[in-house]
Amino acid sequence: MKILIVEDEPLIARSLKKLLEKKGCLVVWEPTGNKAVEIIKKESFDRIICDLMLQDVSGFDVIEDSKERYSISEIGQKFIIITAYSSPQVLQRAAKYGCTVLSKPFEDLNEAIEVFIRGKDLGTKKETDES
Amino acid sequence: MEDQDYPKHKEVKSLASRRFEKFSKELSSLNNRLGKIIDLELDLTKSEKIKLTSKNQAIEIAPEQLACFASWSSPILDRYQTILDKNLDHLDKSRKSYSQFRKKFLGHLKGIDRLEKKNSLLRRYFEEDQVRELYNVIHNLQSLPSFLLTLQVFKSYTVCQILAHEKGQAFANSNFSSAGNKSTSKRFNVEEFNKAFQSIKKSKSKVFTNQSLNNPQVEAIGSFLAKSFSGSRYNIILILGRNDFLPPSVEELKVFNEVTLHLDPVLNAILRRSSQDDKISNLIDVLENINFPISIKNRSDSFLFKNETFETFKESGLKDFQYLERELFGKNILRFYFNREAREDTDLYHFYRVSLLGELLNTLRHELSNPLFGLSLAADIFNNESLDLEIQETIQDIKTNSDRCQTIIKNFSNLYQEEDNFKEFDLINLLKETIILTKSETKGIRKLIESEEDPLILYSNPTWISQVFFNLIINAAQALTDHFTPEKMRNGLISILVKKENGAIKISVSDNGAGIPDQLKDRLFEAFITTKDAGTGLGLAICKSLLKKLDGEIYFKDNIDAGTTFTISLPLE
Repeated sequence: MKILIVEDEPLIARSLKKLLEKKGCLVVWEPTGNKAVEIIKKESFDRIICDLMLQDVSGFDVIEDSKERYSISEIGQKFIIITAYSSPQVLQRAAKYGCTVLSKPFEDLNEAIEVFIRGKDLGTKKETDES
Repeated sequence: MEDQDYPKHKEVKSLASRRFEKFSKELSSLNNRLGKIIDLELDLTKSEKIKLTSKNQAIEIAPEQLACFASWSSPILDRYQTILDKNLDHLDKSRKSYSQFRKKFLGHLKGIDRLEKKNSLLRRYFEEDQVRELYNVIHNLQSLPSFLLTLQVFKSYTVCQILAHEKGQAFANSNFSSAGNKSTSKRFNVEEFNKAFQSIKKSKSKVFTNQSLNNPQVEAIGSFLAKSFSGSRYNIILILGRNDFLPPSVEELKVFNEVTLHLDPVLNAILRRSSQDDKISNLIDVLENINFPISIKNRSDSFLFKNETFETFKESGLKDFQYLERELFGKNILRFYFNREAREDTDLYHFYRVSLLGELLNTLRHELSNPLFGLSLAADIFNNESLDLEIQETIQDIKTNSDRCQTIIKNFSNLYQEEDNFKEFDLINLLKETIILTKSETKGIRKLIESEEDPLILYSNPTWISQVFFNLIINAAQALTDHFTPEKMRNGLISILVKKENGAIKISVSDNGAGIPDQLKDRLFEAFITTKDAGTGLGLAICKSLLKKLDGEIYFKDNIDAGTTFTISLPLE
């Protein structure tokens, strides 16, 4: 399984990379949004874990630019948004793309890793659990 | 132009001699005072000259300047006298001052002459009361066309239109009157106005037809007269017509030219009045809609103006109000009422402060929580990998500390998030959190919380309560830093005591600091009252308004030994 992590906080990115690699994933880390878009256009990923508040652009911009390669339903399957700022507006916009949103800090690290690997199914289940 | 054509001219002449008589009287009274310095020679009938003589100097006033005396009114004579009075003292001193006086005197005469010539020309065509109406009664351009049509001099015309454009506006206005019908007004695009204005201005002839001045806004039909006026703020077009195709006679054209040549000051006067009226009505609008009672009284104490809010209170209801007064034009008094409560109600500042703090904390929360989360995650991973116990413990400390930071940030941003949030919470915990918030201000000061119960669950608004304590603790810390030198600061103490009493919770914040100066005690909770150099004086006023909302109370007393105790009391239910 090939995963791209778009996250500008190195400690978070490195930790997630390490944890996911332990689960047998191939992980690519990219801290900036613009370069992430370039990588997304060139390489194919099973999962893209994307922070919202990046240094250059927002995570939503990355998703928007990925439309060149992926259809809306693929975006909903592939992208998982991680954010420390999950306002109602953010959740609403994520819902428009059909993406799963995980708030940082993760309440349960193992569960978060599960979501990253298994994708949308668990994510939606988790959201309904919370509500 | 012959005298017999204009009977007015004769009247003007007789008026002139009457006025001159008055003037010569004024001058002879002056003569007494002038004494030997100046000899006045006044002879209208023979030489038609005024001669002011002093020793070997003389001012002569030319015959053509005499025309102006015809319309001299007493204010002008007064002005004259003042000028003479002012210069009398200097007259005998030197030749130079005499020639200066002469220059001034003649310049002044010329000015009056210019002004009065215009007026006398107007008087030649208009009745005296019509001139008065033009200068004093007509307050806007709207009523001017119908007025012009009533004048003898324009009696042969049946329609009159005045188009005006205030510079800078996108629209021009048209006021149209046709004899026997009501006047109409309309607004139209400035481009059409400018087109008409330019063609009238450029044209040498004053006579136009609908063909030659092809403009949809012109309402006269057939052949008509038009003139453009260019003022500093307005451009104006005057149109007079008969709704027929007969061009005006030579005589009519002459009269039109002469009269319109002197309409400028009339139009200016009307426009000035009209814009003053607008200003006044705007001002009244503003005063009407202000949410505080406002009145204007004259010196004899009767009302000239009351606004709506004043009316709702009635004068008797305003007894307890404080007010500010201002004199208007040295005779009327404007009074602006505000009540004591209004000054204490610092909601605005309170909301401003809270929303600012909330925003700040949200930004902080985001900026800090991401790296803290990274720390915690990384610590987790290393903790599992390292075998060295000491390193494991250190890493565990890193994780614990970063998680604690995360919790503090979260709590603070929750603290300032929801304004009207009443809920159950632990008061003691809230006090502890608030103390942490004031950490930088209370550095080096001992703090003590004593409570009969811990936790103490209360149903209230934690945000507001925290804000009140925040203010009280900051104030207490300030009182201590004012009182103790940094070395003695360990003697300073802020103690917080929580107890239940008579169905209420009483929380007191005590300091052993400088105490409150006596002269401030009565007004301590008023806004903008402060003991600090850099204080806003809002803290306690906000506390008071918050406690009012919480159904509680806040009061203070001097401690027996030193310092002050503020107590807030909150209802238990």
